Amino acid sequence: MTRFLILRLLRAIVVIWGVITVVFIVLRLSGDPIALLVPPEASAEEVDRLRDEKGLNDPLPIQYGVFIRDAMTLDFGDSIRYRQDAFRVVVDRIPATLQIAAAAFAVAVLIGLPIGILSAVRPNSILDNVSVLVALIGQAVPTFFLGIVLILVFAVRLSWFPTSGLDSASGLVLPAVTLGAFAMASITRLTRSAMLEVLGQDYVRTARAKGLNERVVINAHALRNALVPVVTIMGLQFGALLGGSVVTETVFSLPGMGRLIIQSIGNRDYPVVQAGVFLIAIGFVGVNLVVDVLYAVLDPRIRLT
Amino acid sequence: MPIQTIHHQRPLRGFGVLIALVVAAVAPLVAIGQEATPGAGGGATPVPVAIATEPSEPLVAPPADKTELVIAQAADVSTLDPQKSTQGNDITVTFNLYDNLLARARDLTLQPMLASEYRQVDDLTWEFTLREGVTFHNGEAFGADDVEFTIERTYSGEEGLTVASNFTTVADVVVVDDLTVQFKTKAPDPLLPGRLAFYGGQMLPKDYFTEVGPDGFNSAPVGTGPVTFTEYVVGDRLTLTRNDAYWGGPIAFQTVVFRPIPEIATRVAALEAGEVDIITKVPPDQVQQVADLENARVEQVLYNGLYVLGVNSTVAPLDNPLLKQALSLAIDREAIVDELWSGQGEIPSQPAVQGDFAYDPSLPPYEYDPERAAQLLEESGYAGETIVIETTNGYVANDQAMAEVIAAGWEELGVTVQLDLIETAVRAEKNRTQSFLGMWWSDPTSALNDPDGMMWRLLAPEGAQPYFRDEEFDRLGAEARISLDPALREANYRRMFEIFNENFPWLPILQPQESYGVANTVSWYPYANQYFNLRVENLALGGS
Repeated sequence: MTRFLILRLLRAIVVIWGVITVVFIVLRLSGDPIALLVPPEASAEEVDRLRDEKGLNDPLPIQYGVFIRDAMTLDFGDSIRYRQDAFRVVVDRIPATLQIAAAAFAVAVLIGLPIGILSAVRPNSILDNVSVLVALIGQAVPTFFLGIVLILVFAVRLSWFPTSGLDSASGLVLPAVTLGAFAMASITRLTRSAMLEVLGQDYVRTARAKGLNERVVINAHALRNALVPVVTIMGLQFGALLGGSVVTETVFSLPGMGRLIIQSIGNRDYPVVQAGVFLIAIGFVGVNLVVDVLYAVLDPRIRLT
Repeated sequence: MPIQTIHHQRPLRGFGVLIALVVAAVAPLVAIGQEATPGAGGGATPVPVAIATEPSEPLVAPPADKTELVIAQAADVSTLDPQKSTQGNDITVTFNLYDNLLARARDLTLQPMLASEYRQVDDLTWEFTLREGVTFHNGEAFGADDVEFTIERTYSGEEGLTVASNFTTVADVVVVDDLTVQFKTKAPDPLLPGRLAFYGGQMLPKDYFTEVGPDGFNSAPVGTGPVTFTEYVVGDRLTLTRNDAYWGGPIAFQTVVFRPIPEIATRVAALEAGEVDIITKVPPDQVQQVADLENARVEQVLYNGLYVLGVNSTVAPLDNPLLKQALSLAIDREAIVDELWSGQGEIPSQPAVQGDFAYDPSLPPYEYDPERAAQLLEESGYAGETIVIETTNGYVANDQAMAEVIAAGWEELGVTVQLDLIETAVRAEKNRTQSFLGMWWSDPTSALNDPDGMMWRLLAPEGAQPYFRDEEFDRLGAEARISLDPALREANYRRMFEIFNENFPWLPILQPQESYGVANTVSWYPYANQYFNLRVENLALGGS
């Protein structure tokens, strides 16, 4: 188990290194941040002085070396737009992003999992057909559209929730449903198919044959085995929720990391982009690590490999 | 295979563990969220608006407990230091946290503000008498040394000041006494009062600023304006409080909140739901929708500038005036305004806008005449060279769509057009390095309401877009810049407009309407020069 963990950790570090390296290169290929920083009337000397100050006149390998060194101490430089520590700017946005992702994840799991199980237990029932349809819609409707529709119906017409912002817990409801819809649909569909597969297995028949209560058969025998792929997808979805709430954060005007990073890309505020992608990569890799460990708990066979 | 062993686990464990994990993960996060915004729970209370039966019926009295004004902008505020940003989303705030020496009224005439009067002492000296008894939000008295400090800081060379070039005509600021200050200019500067009335001229408190430094000041700014700084939650909200001691009289709202809502559909929804009172930047295709709201209306003002295609007149064939005249005649501006802008704009006639000094109302709007265009194209000797348009997507509204329409018109005329899409950041870089290949979008703004502040600032040899040179044009522009004789300046600019309309250093496309959505419970009006005014003369509760 220790070796398993160490290997996974090493792999995680390589992934994070790869991600920030790609970000470093791509950002430098795509435009000069100084151009946006100075007024159009600024003199060439002024621009050059700023470039010097920001280290942009150094050769790329040196910039890269400095970048990696600083990244290890979480020093990504000052935000060009906000003129304060970039890492700090991003960290300030984490609570909002985590709240949204967690709430969306809760919506996805608490609704998706039971519906998936029930559909599988009663295949081709009305409930099954409705849930398949809802799952299809959940995966097909763009987040952007769903968000606007929810705002118009539940915030403007019914006034149940605010249209935007995170002033109160009720502000989380619509973003959570919007963001969680896709993950919920994935989880429903996968749970259903995994359960259907497991329910057809010999050991389930055996369990039924020895007279076990159907509840016990479903919960103890079938579900546990069906959960391995479901946990995988849940882990991936949580990672995606962390980094993928850009559209939701924009539509609902939530002060999260996704919106910050998109806005910073537009402003060529590359210290913020780097710090943000770094944090998201860590979040993603961290969640995957947890999933790996969960596998090992759920399925002892994985521990052996 | 050890599968059989699994059968003996406790029922529900797998599922139970998962649910517990999810609940454990979510519960504290939601709780943290509630803690993070103490007392802010009521921020989004929907306002029960007395519904106006006709959308055209303008103002209704708000509920008696309405004390908060919420303004939704497209982006958050990047800095509260008025000398570090001239962006639209920032000056809305800094024009109200701070006051200038002078300000423009809604009709764009210059009015006294922190200066009660001003006069020209000689060609190189302007003298300002300051208003008595004005104090900053921290109690510090406002005086001549603050003026000196503020203006000298702009050209001090401090890093990151975006207004560094605003007062470069000033040689020295002289404190005569506590309430009298003189500006010595390097050359006669007819536009100094206008410069002081716009960004860069917001007055800072010398003592406090020196004590806390630029960063400390940015996180706890102090001005003399009608609102004081309370709290800024980056990305979420900026809260300002009424300055009860404001020299111009206290405003009608206890608090003013600026919120970033990037998505226009959400901004409109927030206005309709009564969560916000003013929304900025309503795009042309949404104007009707806002106008149809029962609880809000559209307030419009013609943008104090033009959307133009810049022309690199140094490269062939764009150095050919006849070709450029042909290109201008082949642009169907009316179709652009009607179709792409839903009629929300006007066709320009010169590189200046109504209300500008020397604006010539007798000039006709730029024409669309494909036949004369074809004739001029032939006369120009155009031989099929490719014309490059480097368009952006979103630098100004509809830029890419407009470029496509224009390119299609030119292709029809027989001109070879290459339409390249560049990013806004790349555009900024090309603008700096003056390396546009052919044409690009620009939005020259007339901040000083004078051709020097719009046309000559950009097109002069030392300007940011010096691609067109003409001996007479240059001489007239340089002369008018330092002349204190209005008659001479007007004559010079009128002649420059003629030269412009033959040579097209820019191809002006339209003067767009700027649209805002305003709740019917609030009386507020936009200014053409982007001066966002929340003072009593421009802001009141509806129905009062």
